[in-house]
Amino acid sequence: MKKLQVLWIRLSTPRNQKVLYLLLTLAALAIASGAPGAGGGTGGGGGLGLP
Amino acid sequence: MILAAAVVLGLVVGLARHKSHAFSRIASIPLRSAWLALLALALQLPLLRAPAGPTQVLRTQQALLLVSYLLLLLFVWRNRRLGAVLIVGAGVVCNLLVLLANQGFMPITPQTLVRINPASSVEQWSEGTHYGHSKDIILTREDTRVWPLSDVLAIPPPFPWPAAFSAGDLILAAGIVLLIAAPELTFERRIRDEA
Repeated sequence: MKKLQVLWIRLSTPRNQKVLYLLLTLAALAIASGAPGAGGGTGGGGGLGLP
Repeated sequence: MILAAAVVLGLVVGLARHKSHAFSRIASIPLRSAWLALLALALQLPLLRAPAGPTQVLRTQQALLLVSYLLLLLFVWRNRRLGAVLIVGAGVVCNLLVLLANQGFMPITPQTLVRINPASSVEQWSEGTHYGHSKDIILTREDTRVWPLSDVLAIPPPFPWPAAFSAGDLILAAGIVLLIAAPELTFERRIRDEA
């Protein structure tokens, strides 16, 4: 846990925080603009309980 | 979620191109009103959480979806000086056209659903119902307006995350990859405008 805190302090520079914010924004933009969830297979199936 | 992969791809390409400078380049992207994209996604969550069923009970979620697309268009307008965002905007417009032409949902055919859910059959997918946890409505090709721009493309198994997507999705994914991987290219319009 302490190692994680040290890592966070080292890596969470203002620049890296901005990069993270931009990447999260772009991920949100991609998901909101497109068609997420139109997937199948494991965990999919559109609520029909398919495998 | 396949579209979020565009962010990862852009990051990988950016790191390969610019190595240790990639993060600085990304941090320099002058993105405006980023909260609009986050709010748009939040407005879509009620529909994305709705299970499969009749579309009649999803009027509120449907209205929120359309409002969210207005926010996305506003985001694109606010960032129109970035070339890559204009590409994203073209994808958004393509998807919005299909939504508006098809009862406010993205159409997907039973055949496409069988491709991404091989354990199912065409008969299993009831036409006119909402495909759970998505923005999609199940429609036959004959009943789909602007069919070529609907969810006609698919990545079937054995791909670990089989998914259907539209041409608009591909366009906006390209814009996002370009924005992250080559932010300097997306500034050209701004530099030209300011010159």
